[in-house]
Amino acid sequence: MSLFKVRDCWSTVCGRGETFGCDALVVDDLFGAGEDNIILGSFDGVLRVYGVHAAPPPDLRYSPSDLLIEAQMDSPVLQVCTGKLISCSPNKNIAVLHPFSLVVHGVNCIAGSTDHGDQYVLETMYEHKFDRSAYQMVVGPFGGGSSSRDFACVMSLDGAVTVYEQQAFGFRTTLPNYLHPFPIKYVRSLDAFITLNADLCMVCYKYQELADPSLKQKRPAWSCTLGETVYDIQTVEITPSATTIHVLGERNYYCFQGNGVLWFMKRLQYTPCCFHPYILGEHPETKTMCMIVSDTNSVLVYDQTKLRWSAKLSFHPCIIARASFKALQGCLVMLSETGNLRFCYLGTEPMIFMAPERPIKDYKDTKNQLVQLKKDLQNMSMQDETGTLPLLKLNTRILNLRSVGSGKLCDIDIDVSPSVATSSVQITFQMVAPLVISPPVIHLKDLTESMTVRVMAHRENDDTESVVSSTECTVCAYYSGTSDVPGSLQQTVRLPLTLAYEVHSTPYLDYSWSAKISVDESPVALKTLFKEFADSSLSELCFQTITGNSKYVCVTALPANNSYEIRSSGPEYTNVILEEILFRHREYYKTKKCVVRCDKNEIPVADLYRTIEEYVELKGKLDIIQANYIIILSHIHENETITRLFAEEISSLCSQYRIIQKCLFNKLKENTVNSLSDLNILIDDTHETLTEKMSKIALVKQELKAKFCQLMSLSRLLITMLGLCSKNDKILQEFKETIVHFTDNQNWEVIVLQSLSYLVGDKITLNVQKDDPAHIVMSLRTLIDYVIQHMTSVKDELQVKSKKENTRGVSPILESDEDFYTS
Amino acid sequence: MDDTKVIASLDTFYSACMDLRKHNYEKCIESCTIILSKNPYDQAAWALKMRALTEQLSIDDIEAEEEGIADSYFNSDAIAENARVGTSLRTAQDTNNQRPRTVGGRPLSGIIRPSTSSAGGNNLQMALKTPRTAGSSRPLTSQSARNIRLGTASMVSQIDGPFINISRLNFPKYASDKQLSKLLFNYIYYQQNDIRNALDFAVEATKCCNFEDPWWKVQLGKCYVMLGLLRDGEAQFRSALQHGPNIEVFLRLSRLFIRLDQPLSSLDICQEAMSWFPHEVTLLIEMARIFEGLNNIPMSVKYYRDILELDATDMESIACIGLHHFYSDQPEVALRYYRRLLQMGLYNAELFNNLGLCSFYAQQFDVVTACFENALRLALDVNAADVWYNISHVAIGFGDLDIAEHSLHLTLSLNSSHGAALNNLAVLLWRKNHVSRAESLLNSAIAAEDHLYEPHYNRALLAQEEGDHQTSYAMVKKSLSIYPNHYNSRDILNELKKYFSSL
Repeated sequence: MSLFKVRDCWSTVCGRGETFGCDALVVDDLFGAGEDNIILGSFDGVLRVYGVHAAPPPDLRYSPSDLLIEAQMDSPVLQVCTGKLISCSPNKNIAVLHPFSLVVHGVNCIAGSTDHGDQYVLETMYEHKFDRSAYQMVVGPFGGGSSSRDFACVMSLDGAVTVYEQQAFGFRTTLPNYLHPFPIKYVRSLDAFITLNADLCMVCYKYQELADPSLKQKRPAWSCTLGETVYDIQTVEITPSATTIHVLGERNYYCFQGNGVLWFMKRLQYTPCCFHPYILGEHPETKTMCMIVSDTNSVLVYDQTKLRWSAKLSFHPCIIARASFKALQGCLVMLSETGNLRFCYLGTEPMIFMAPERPIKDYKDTKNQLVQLKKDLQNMSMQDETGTLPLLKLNTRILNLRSVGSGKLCDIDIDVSPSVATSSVQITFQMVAPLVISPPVIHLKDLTESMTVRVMAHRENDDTESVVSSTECTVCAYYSGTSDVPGSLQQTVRLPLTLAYEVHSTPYLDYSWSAKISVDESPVALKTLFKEFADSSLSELCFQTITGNSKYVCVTALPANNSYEIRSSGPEYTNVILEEILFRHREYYKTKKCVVRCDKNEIPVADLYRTIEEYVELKGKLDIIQANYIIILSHIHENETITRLFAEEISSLCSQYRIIQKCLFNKLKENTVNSLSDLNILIDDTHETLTEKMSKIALVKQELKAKFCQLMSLSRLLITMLGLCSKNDKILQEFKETIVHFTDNQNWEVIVLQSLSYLVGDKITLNVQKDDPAHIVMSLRTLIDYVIQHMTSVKDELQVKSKKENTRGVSPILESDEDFYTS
Repeated sequence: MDDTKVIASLDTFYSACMDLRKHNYEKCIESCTIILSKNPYDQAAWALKMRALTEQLSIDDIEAEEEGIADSYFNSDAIAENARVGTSLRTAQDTNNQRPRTVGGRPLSGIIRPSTSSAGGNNLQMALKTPRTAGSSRPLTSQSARNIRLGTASMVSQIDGPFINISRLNFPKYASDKQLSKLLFNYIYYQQNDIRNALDFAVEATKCCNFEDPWWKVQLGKCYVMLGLLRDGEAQFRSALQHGPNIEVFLRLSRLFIRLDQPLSSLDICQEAMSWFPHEVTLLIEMARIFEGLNNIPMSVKYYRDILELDATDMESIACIGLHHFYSDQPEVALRYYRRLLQMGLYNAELFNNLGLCSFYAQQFDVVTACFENALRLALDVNAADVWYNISHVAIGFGDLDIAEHSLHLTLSLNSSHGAALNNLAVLLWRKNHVSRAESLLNSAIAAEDHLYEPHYNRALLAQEEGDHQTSYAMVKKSLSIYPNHYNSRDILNELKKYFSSL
């Protein structure tokens, strides 16, 4: 990243679709004219020589006459070098490395007499053929001596180094510890070659050492462990006697002095691609500079390790070099892999990044939109009222009742008809215990057409005691279609009364509870009202619950008083019948608006409280057995204090049982019978105690369940009758939701207490110690009394604090909050 | 002659070498596969393919280091639990001008680095208790997802099974082969990321060269550090340094001491390295980061300035210096740094967000909207929450509390555990007398980010106003434990103490 950008002044594309290697370019003054020439060769076998003759910028641009020579070879050009490779000739020649040959060309200039300018001709001077595939070559004045002649050294892919003394073959040797070819360079001040060996060390071999055929084991003059592979090695001559070696590694840039001393190094924070070190200034005040191209396409210019300049590139070069022309001194020469050759300069005018223009917005309307949005937000209710029609239709049909064994079954058919293909449907049922539906959940996959599902409603198998408190069954279907919006719908059906009651022919006389329901219209004859039960017109109908010990409910229609009378063995058995009468009565007088009333004094509040009390008591009992604590009354001093020892009796029994088993096994190993005899008694005894305990728990649980059903039934009756006494539907609904709900494993009394106290608000202040059951019952009593009073008295209206869709949502304080307060 | 024929006569191995030099890894691997299918015993081609596969996936593993929770817990190297102030990254002093802290609990740096959260909590409990959000989860071990991914990615790219079956390699044979051993080690370490085998291999290899090659010592140290054997790693690195200074080794040693939570030793190492490599930017960056971690911002900024002297394009330095100026109430200066970053071509939501904030505080209101618009346009879900949060600040500054409230709601819709946003929203609602909502928001702010003192303080204030002195006391205590010098908290505490003693 940089403010600046490299500016192109001269660019051309060499050939079409040609590929260039990393050694394909060399910059040298071929003709001694004080101007550099660019010589490059491609893998496609084309050798090109460029010279620039144009005026200085801004007129400097590519012209076709800049291409001096273009020649097609018959094998790929791996590398080009220049040097005085012809004996007794001061001119520079071009050495071209092919995979299997080294060819030296001379360039002849034929002066032109017309506008075309001079003509350049390539002339092959000599050729060395070899049979090992070449990798790289080095040209230099090997072996010391004058700088008037250059030799060439070719490194092949298998590590052989061949030196050609101009036209003559010099010698061939192999480099030790060699695996992969790495760049090889000649260090003039030392008369040595430098490269990287397979051990990732920089090694420097003296020319004399390599040339000596008697030395089988070539020893390096110096070596230095880099620990990484290198991309390129370059040498720069500050003076003929002082050469610096620049190495570009994977993550570091090193600079060695000729004698192998590390001069400086720099850790790079990017991946480098290629580099070019050079010297600025005259000898005493030289500066060692280096240009490194990063893989993020920027060129960074370092003065030793200090970053002097960085600029962005518009393309990805694989070679960077520096050339001087009359028009432009020290310009950057860059060649990309595909033959894009450019001469560039580091522009000093910052190329400031401009953020892309934003789309122009019209703010005229925005204010109104904001106002509208705020309005919408205020009006938005929490309920999601998507007016879309459900994609699924449910039709529930009640089929006939069957008697299977002692129980009764009722088949229910559910027609599921999707309007579009739904991928999955799940149907669940909500029933009040002790009635259940089996199977409880139905999954349907890839529903495309209507289908019918059959389920059964029946009493829970092991439950013959519990009271049926409601026959309503809610069928819920959740579906998800192809469009990811899931949906749901539900339907409520009433199961037939015969599932819970049957007719008792002989009248039963000992009724402990009765209620009268007065209606405006004349009551419907029982024969029509309960078609399925009564076959002749009777003035009263007696129902018998289908439970272990029968209870009776008697209904009498009193046309004279315009009322129904219900008498029963206990109020808890009447709720279903009462609901049914109300439902059927209203159904009969469909066209009219029925007004049904009852006396508020007949509401069985006392029974409810008694049941709550019993329920809570039973719960405490269960706790004591199950959990577990043994109450030890201890008399310390004069005060009676109750110490509760929390001993988990059952678990201790269990562990005792396991220990005995272990002992048994251990004894068994001894293979003697008599040692087992006492353990025998112990294990039997423990087992017996355990089973006893467990069955006791099961019994109490069963009882608790029955008691809860009774409680539910009573509370439902309370709601139903309150509904007849009061007109305050909203509070009734809230009250209903509060006290009638299904709790499997939660404490009904605690939840109801919390919710009710929230509903009542600060009208009644309770003094509740949390854990005391007696207090809970008392407070529940106070609260329910209060609500009933408020609902039945005409003028009052219970002020409910704030509308919340679910008053049950009052949960006890979260644990995290609790410790947050205490800590 | 036809061009295509000429290039076809090129040696396959030569073009493979050349492709590797040009970073064309895929092509190189392809060529090597061709050679190997012809001659399966071509060692050079085999090694070249190995190099290409390694280089393709190698990352600068010094930069990518990250310490996992498990590592910090199972760290057996005894470190003083309660280190003296200033000697540990965990007990870094609080300065008066507090920078906001990240979810991980570190002072916010100018730049996100892999290890910015490395010194998270005091211990495992703290680390685990740090609220976990989508943006703040810490890897369980240092074999972080990044490293594991690299290992598995290599498997995917090779349809016909792994290139080298490490478990069947004859380690002593290859370790003694000087030509192959280093390349093979790099392959096992970087490409396969099989640290245990790499360690075995390095042990063999260093034996073969009579424990004299510093390179192998470094590799052994690397393996030890990856395996959590920090002290063994230290011994290896120190031994490698006997052979001569090396930037990489110094850096690794410094990182190692940071993992040991000994930032001062780390600084010593860097100082020593600086005497060898006086102008090395990476070392300076390392030191600047350590000082930042120690909350010694002036020193950190000094080093960042030194870096800019040497490398004016270092974004981390520019960003950190900009941040420093911003939090030392010089938004105009910060604006210049951030603008420089923009000019250099950095183009992301965070930058525009910072620009917007700086120009707001520097009272250049005309560009604020444009900056935030750009920021929102570039923002992803992750940082959009923060952009909206900052917009709410600007809106509060302009006095448009409605907009502020909406922006905060948007923040929370994007990141529901944004503690600061929850806190600010609570304050806004409190002003509107929605006390119970404010209360619950403050509670969730505390639950979301319990390293902020503001929600604690606000909660204390609210509780005190409501007469709930006990809660107020508990909260103000917490607030002071986070920020001991908070004046207003002390005020409340004194008042409460007076009240309690009068009872």
